[in-house]
Amino acid sequence: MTDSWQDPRSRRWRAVRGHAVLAVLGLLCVFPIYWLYATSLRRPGDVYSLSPLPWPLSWQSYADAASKVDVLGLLGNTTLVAALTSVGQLLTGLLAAYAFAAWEFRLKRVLYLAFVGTWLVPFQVTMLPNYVLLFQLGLLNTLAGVVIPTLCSALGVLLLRQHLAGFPKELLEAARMDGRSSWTTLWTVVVPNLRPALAALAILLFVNAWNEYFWPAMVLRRSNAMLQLGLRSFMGTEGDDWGPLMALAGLACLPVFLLYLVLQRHIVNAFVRSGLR
Amino acid sequence: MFVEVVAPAPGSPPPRAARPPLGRRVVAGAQPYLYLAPALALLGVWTYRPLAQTVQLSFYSWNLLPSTPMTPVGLRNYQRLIDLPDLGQAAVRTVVVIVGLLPFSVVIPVLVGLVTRQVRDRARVVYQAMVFAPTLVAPVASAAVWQWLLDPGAGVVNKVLGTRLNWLHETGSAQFAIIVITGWSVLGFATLVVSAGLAGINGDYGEAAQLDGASRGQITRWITLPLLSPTLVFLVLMTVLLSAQWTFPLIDTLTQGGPARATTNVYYLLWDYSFHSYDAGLGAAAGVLLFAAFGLVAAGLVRLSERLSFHDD
Amino acid sequence: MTRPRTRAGIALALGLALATSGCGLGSTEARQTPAAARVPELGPDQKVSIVFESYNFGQAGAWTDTFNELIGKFRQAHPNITVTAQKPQGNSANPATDTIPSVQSQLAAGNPPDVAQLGFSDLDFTVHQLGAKPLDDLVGRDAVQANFAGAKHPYAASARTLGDWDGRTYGVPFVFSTPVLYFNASLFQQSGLDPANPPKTWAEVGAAAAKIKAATGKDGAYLDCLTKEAKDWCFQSLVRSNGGRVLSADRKSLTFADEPAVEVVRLAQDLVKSGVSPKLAQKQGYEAFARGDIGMILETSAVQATFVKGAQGKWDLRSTTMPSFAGKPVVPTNSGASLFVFAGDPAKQRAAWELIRFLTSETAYVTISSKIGYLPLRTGLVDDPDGLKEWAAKNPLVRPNLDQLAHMEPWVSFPGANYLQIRDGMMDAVENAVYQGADPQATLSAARDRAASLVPGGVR
Repeated sequence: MTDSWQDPRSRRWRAVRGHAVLAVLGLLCVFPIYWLYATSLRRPGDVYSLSPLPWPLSWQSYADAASKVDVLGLLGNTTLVAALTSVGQLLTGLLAAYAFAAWEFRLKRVLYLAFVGTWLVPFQVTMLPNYVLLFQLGLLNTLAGVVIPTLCSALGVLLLRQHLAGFPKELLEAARMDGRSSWTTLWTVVVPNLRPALAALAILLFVNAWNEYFWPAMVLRRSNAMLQLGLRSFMGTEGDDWGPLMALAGLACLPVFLLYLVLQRHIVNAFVRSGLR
Repeated sequence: MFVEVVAPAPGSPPPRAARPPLGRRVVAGAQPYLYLAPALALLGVWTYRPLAQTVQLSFYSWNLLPSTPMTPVGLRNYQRLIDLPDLGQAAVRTVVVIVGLLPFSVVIPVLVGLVTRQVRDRARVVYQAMVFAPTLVAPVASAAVWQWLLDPGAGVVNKVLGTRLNWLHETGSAQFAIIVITGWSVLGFATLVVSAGLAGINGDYGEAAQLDGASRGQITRWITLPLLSPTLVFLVLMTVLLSAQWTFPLIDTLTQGGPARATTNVYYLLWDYSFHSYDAGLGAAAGVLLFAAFGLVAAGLVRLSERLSFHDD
Repeated sequence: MTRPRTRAGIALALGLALATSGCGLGSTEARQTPAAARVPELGPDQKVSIVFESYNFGQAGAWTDTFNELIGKFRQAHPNITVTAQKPQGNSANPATDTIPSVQSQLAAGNPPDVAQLGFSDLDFTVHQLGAKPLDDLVGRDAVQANFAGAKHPYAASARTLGDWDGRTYGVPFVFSTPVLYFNASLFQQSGLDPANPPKTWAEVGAAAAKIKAATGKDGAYLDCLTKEAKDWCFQSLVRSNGGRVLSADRKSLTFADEPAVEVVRLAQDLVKSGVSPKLAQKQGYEAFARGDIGMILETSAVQATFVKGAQGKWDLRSTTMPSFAGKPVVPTNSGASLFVFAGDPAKQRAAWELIRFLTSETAYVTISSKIGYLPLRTGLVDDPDGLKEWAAKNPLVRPNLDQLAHMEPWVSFPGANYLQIRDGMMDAVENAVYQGADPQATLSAARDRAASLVPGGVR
């Protein structure tokens, strides 16, 4: 029953089949995104055209969108919020994951479950009490009010714990033998080894924060100060003005796409070579 | 503001080697808690405090307004909830969504992960990027795009398929559309997780089996998949717990739970109760029930994953 | 192995959380709101700042621009009053549906907006649960009536009492429309129909729609009254025009499963089944009409601007009054919203009243009507050369609305804290029957039975 593993012909055939499957799937995944940008680049009169290439190109839709929404302001605010959120989540997540990985302690299991448990608490439940608390703290309508309640990400803790679980205990043990404190060990031994994973997670968290819109909508009432909110209100009023709508949607995704393109190898590698095992 | 919140942990004193043994033991014992403190404080304030309030609220009848009193009603909110047909129907729809999403969050990612291993490096990176891209699209933006693609008059989908279906506003197709759109955006992330899981599997087992004359299919079936099981359980767990939340922004922007409630899943119902019916007690009771129900499912899955993770060592 | 301890730990954690959460919720004791006393006038240099919440600020484009312009003018006229404008929190595509949850959550936090623009469908809840301040008490009945009388042009008689409850004025009606039948005169001509003689009854609408469908292949008619998103203002109008009601006059029993309502739903269902009315969601419906893809649409004038923009240079947009059910009088109802005061502080209450007076003044209506195309509630303006005469002459589309104001009846709000569940349940049933083919009688009866227990003091 031996399969011809090393037979070059069967290997090539498998590779071709692999390419075909992946190419079809990849194209299906990318098509909606392509169509988004294609529509946004058509001349206003061509929006309903089905030609696969938007030609002649026109920036009119972008100009229309920019005339109705303060695109630069939105980009700035959203970047700031997403950056603060992701850095904060990374830090709290790193510390928590380190505790889980480096020690055995009584409440370990319960506390771990407390993080998993956040997935069980729908934000519809937390929204109103948190809104009231933010009001009492005087943080309504501030970007701080958007950021602070989101500073702990269960996903961050769980993923980092997963990475750290694969971290060789001997290295930690060796550092302890050297008389290094746990704090120093964290920054001189763990973090340097974990850098790719941290970078990947940071990007993931950044993207999540960038795309969030329910909570910001609750906190920032007096303006559509974040991209997703601006886009949402645009959808409501200029709904079938597809060109400008696609232009704004495209702009809302662009920074994240660029970030991903620049760091793609990094992200994938970090995930794929996770841990040191 | 932001710095204040995360400050406590870095401020915790590092233990010094010169400490007396007893003190040292205390500090060492406290250490993990100190590291956990910032995250736990945030969880306590922003997740579990509201949850506890919700539990409390579920035993009252109240419209949230300071000017009206809270009336204790015992278990009546729960009773009403169970008597209403809405919850059961929404639960069924939630199960449909979860089952509908499993192919996108588990099956296809595993297939892609396996197939990707047969493709060379550069092409692999390109494919991975293509599959991952939708994950990066914001829910609002993806709602906008899909609304455009599925437009009954001018949308590409109808023109390509030659149909005249109003995808998001027919009871038959709305749920399907929501599942596909959600699946589209989850697929990339799940694929990444699977790739990570596959990369973590030691190649020695496969090579050994191969020397023993196992076929590729046999290796995949009996070695790779079992070793991948913790990852798979993780993905299933995520799908079960988060499906209703993943679909929420799309439902909220595209269908508002319609047509004729066809896309109203449990979280949307909860949202409807809490924010559109002003019956805070009823909404709270629904929230508590959901928490408990999903908690049981999650506990089951976690135990399953613990049993399965034996393979890993 | 560690499970018992885990469980104990969880119990402990939950107990702790419960114990610490006691504060922060409401109180179990009734807090009596003191009867509002008359508020004094503002001193000449008394500085006040108020918050104005209106869903119009959530709609980019003409609405926001016009309202910002009005607020700007108000600041000039009242330099001592600072107005902060905000949209309702929330993210519905239509911000008008976020108004009540938004005010409610701000009330829950203890900082309601001082002035809020809320819909007529929420009137019962706004007065009884949200506790809007009775204007008659705040500034006196005379002042309220004097505002309705206006400097030159009084409110239309049917509009004056829309924000009243038990004879007291709580809200000043601000912007609304009645159902208007807009039609595409170009499609009429292509189908051999006479645009000068648009359909007068629903039977004629059905026939004309069939002709349009046959001659042009475009859809015949769309009624923006039959989905949950559309709310029930226009459905109520259809039912009233067929001799029925959705809620009994004593507000105690639900009557939307009675024959007149069922007949309306059956008629609408037939239009859809026969293929002359498209299966579209609200927004898709009016957007398709704006593109010129539908012959007729029953719609509020709030979206008229969209139609005008879509029709410009492409097709001929006209409007007429709402069609009747053969032999029965048409009863138009109103959509829209009033302005309410929620401020607790006397100075803010006075400032809030000043803002309401300004927003409902002649000058404000001239701006609103000419910029947005909305109906001026001070109807005399359209005959005033200094007012909107010129504008009205150029915009015959506003005529049906003005004509219908005379015999308009209010959009009735459902009673109790669960009024929205009642309304949405009813409209879900209507939508399900009309667009998904469910049996009208059975669906409406089921919805009524489910909602009956939600009516306070209700009898089946």
